Amino acid sequence: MNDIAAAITFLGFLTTAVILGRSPNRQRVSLFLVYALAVTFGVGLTQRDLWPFVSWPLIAGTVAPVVSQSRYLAVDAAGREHDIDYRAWYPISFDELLAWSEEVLLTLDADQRQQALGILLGRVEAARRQAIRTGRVGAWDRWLGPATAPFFLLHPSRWTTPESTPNTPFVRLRYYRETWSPELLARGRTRIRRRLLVEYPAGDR
Amino acid sequence: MIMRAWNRLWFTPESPYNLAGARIVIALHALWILLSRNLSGTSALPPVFWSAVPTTSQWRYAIVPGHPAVETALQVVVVLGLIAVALGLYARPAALVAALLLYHLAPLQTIIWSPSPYERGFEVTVLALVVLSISRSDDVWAVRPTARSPVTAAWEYRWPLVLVQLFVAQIYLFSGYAKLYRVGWHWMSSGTLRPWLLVLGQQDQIAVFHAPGQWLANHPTLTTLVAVGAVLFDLGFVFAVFWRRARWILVPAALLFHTAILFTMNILFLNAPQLLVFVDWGAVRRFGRAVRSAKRPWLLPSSPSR
Repeated sequence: MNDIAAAITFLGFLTTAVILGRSPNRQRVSLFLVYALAVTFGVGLTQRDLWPFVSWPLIAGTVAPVVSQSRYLAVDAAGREHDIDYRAWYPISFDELLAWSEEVLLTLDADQRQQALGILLGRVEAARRQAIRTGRVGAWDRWLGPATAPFFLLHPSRWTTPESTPNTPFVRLRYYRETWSPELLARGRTRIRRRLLVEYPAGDR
Repeated sequence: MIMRAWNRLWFTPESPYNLAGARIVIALHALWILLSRNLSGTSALPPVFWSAVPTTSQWRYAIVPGHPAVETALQVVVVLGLIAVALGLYARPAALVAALLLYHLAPLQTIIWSPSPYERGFEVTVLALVVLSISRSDDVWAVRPTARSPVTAAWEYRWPLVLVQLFVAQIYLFSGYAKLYRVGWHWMSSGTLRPWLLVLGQQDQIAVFHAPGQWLANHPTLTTLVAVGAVLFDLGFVFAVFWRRARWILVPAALLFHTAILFTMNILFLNAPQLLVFVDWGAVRRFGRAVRSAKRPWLLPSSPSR
């Protein structure tokens, strides 16, 4: 329903623009402006997104007493777990991957889940080899180099040198959920709890 | 009364250079984001990643997964279109084509889990490009200017500029409103902001900067002041659209605001460069010409001795 409403709203924006574009006069411009103002303020005030008309709820919430985050760890043949550089999932961005994992991955059936994780393991292993070979992770910077736009949330680079890049092949991929209390962690009275949700390949640890 | 205010806001004479400057800012910013992503790569993802994408979302954006070559070709067309917009080369049709294609391509960033590519940098861009496609932004500072006669300030340069500026200002306005709408007045307290500072600094997959946010979180009075200041700033930024003098304070303050958020919360606001649409480009041009003339006074018509 939201998809249809959003599509109609954008189509209306385009249509009024095209009508205005034929012979712009103040009356037609005003019609276009009224439409643009009605939609943008309507979306903003009701806080219902109709992209590209958005309500901008930036940090407009409260943090729960206990929070969680997802984490993927790659495992080598010796069973050692390794952090994965956020650029290694290219062309999927790290934030989209974690959001997809939280929203979709666990709703898939077991076969699909294994299939998806197998593909992801292939990507991070290829990225690891590329990092060792070339010193680059992913190809986000292929056009703009150091001027490449970062993502909305910053992420620290893990594999910055050959020494900081795992030098043994990844053979497994684990998906964890971590939970903690920000307040207690800040006071040093708790630690982050990690729970394994799914692993590839499944069942032969 | 209302009509007079309406006309004063949208239809008073405006410098063509300010609208042309906005055109260039919007196009270059879009190129920056576009060339930093691989939108066609999402199209190549195996079907399992698309399994939860609703058909209506695909129709809405005319997305058919599994055609990365087509998406790459469209991405090339957008890049060429945005370069044409920046250069003022067939800028109006180029802006419309770029807007439509970005409307199609931008959701590829998030579509595997959400149909709304919010906070990914293209929201204002798509809307602004539609506006530019029906405006005379290419009368000056254009490889192929469309103006046939010498250009002077006119109402035709005013309304598209103000509308684009309003799209940018709405980011702040709705962001402030959303805090009060969704949380209430107590958003403006240390009790709300401190956990944000803590959690964004504690996530080792996000935090590049740790100390500034944790330091601020440990000063409750300062955190409360920052929270109050942030909401007031958000709600007040819209004055930059209506009051030129306010821009001298509000635009640098916004840049300072985003810099502080970057270091304390590890959030980089991708739309920040679009604040340049508030710059008085006409004045910048006059200043540049004055500097050049001062350096080369023999070029001045009033310097007959040279």
